[in-house]
Amino acid sequence: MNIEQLSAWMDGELNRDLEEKILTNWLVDDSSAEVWNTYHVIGEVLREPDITIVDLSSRVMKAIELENIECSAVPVVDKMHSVYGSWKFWGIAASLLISLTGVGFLLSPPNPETKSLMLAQENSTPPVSHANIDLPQSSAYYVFLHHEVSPMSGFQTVDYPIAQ
Amino acid sequence: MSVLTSVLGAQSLGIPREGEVNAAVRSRVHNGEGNLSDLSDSNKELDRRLVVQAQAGNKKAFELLVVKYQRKLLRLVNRFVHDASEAEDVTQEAFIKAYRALKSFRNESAFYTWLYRIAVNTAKNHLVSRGHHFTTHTVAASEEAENFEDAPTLKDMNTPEALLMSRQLAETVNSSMSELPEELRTAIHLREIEGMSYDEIANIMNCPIGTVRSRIFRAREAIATKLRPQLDVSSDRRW
Repeated sequence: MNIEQLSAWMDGELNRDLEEKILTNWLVDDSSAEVWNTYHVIGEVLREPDITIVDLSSRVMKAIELENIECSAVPVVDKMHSVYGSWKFWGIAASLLISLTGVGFLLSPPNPETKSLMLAQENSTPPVSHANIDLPQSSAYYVFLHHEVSPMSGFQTVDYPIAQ
Repeated sequence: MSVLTSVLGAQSLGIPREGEVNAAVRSRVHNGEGNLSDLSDSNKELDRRLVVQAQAGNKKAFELLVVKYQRKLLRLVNRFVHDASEAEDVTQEAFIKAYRALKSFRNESAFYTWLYRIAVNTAKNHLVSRGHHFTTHTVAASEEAENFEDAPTLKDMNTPEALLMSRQLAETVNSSMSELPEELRTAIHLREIEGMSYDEIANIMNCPIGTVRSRIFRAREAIATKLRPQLDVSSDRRW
């Protein structure tokens, strides 16, 4: 390992593209840690002669290894994006939920109570279609559901008189 | 710069007497011109890059930060926890807490500032667990603990062996410095004590930045050669 590069890097005076190389070398060359420590001691003794020499790094790193502490960076998401993102997410989720619920209703046979409601509906309202289309059971149930959940709508058809 | 040249003299850039240098540094700090190594922008940027690496899972990067700040943090913790052995334990705990919380550190403030707060809180919690109570005065003092003029100095809390070791190390470094060629001594002095960047040093010494880099490295290596035997001994001891 190039120790002169380490010395410059310690002062923040090394190119960034070499920094990764230094850190990579560090993984296979423990002697670099000793150089790093010694150079820092020199600076600290020059600035503060009363410094206490101690080596806690090995104890700290060993404790971290034993505890199996993992450190993974959480991506920083700006607030606006997170708000928009959450609305979008919940919107999509709600749409999916409604769709699945609708499909579920369509596919599942109506219970007797619902069936009786359908019959009552059929008797009290005009025919759904003037064309007397015989809707399959699932479609009829969909129409019923539409009546139930869409108060503003009437499932109506319009007869357009055909000009003679 | 003008303060420095007035202290050092226009002609000579040799190493001034220690008192003159300290006065010059204090003057610059007081006037807001201080650029001590620990607070310089390049130092913060280096820390920031190491933190990013550590957050990405590179434990060696965090180890470099521990090695860099362990003594400074221990000195800080010692202002709360007077027992040397306990102070080491509290300092160790502070670093571990910092590592656990590293993923939430957003690099908006300086890493050491953040580490400082963790260490102070860890020390306080330790004292509380030992039955100490904090008054308003104590809290206020703790916030300025590192620079608190009236706080006990480190030497009052160290063991005699630790004090002797500190003195021996200081003597070794100072004697090595005095034996260095003038250009090497000047370069490392301007870097370590004055906290100047390579660019500033190059301007003062009227040489290329590459030469500055080389001189600082050679000075460090010359001192380290004499220091290493003592550091190898100290690493086996527990003060």
